[in-house]
Amino acid sequence: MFEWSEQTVYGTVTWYTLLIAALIFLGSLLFSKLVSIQLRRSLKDKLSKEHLGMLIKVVSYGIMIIAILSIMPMVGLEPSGLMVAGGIVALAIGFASQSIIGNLISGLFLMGERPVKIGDLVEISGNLGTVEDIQIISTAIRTLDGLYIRIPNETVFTSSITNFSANPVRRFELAIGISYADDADKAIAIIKDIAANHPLILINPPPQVFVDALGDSSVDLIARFWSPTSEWYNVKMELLWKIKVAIESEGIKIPFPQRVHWSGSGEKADLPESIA
Amino acid sequence: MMENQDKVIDNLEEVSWQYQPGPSFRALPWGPHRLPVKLALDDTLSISLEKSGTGYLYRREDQSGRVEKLVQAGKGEIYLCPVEPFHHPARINQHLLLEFDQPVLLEPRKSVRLYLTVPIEIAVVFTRKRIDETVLDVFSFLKPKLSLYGTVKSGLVCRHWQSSIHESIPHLNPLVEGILQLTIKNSGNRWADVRQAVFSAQAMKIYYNAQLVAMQATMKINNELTAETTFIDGPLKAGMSKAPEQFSAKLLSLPGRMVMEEGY
Repeated sequence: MFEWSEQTVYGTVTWYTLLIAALIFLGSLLFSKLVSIQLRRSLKDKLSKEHLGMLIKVVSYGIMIIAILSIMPMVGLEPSGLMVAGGIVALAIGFASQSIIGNLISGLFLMGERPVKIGDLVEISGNLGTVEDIQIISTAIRTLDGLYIRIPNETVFTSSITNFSANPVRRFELAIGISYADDADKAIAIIKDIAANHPLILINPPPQVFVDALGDSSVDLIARFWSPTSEWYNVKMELLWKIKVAIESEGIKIPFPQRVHWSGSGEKADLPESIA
Repeated sequence: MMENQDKVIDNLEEVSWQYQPGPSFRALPWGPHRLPVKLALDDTLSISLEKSGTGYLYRREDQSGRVEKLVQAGKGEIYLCPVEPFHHPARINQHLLLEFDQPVLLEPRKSVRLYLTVPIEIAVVFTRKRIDETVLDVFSFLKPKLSLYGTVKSGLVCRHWQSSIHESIPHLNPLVEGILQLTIKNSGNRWADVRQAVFSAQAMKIYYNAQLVAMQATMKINNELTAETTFIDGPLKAGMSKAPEQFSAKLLSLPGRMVMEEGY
């Protein structure tokens, strides 16, 4: 009944083996599709859209490459022969594409480790900006000046990365100097009051305001505030002037740097004891 | 002090309302109000929607300044309603942390029902009857404040509120604060020292009437560190209306319950 299937098409390849090869190919195609759907369903909440798309491509291409290699002998093509022939070509391509492969592997590791994600404010090898895109070979960031920078993933992977958006909140610090004649406790209370009334300064962790140093020209106060990561810079820009205005309106002076010079011609009684 | 009064001059409906502390005060004019209208609330805030060209000019004036918007629409009405307290500051927090003004010590396998004050914001909604509605503005009489629940690495930025605890429903200004009927259940085997509760914005179910803004929730204490909070979708008193949800869990595909894993 199926005698036609025993007929050779070319060489030792029969219609039967061709049919089996076609079925394996179609089965693999279906299998890779099902795996892709399953991966998409199970990982859609765990991976970003870009990373998930990349993973699905790698897995489905992997399945198809294995399927094609396994059906090659059925259709009269020997993969070993191809490998010998392709070996030399692969060696040449390998040398030529060394950096590309390095970037690609770094890209895969970055997708696994996920030190940055799209939208994060980061500093990578001295470049400060917002991550615009993470591709398999490179990462694109837009600097705060609006410049586009493409960084190879190998550089991203081997550089130290500062991610300013990794945590939901961050602390910033302001330094305020007041004159020695003024009451530091009063200044601290004014600064704490400003923090308490600012909607974007967190209650917890609490603000810290304290005398940090007795400087050359001023009593140096340090104020530390916690704010949402997305807002801290605007708050910082707004706050220093607000503090300056508030403490000066309460009669507290912010002194200029000053130095007292004693001339040798003065009366001895005018000099400080330590010099006299 | 401004008197509670309503009047209509040249087709402009003018409504004044002032909260008077105590068990009975004049019904809050949530609306709906025909246009044009001017509402003066608690001496400090006024809202108006007056005819301007082919549409209306919306104006809100309070101590912080003035907000104006042009509304291009045909016939419509406005009404006020309480909404979740997450619009100010905008797009930063979607959780509410209530810090109790006194800790609640609860024995194992015991539950307690308490009434806590919660902050609310007020939405001004423009409605075209039976067609659609849109929120024109959201304001609040309260100064918002944020707090971190959990660690710096993985915590949540929450709207913070120092909440006073009551054993029965207290009298509050419905424009400023609402009441949360919270049932705390200690499912653990040890005493629970409850000092705070965190809720997800995606689940707030606010009901209101002319004198009260209220919601209900449960807090199930699982062990020494974790608790679960969930809002209940139901009115505290019969006849209360449901406020439109601005942060619907359904719309955002987010869970309405909140698991507190960093202590209570």
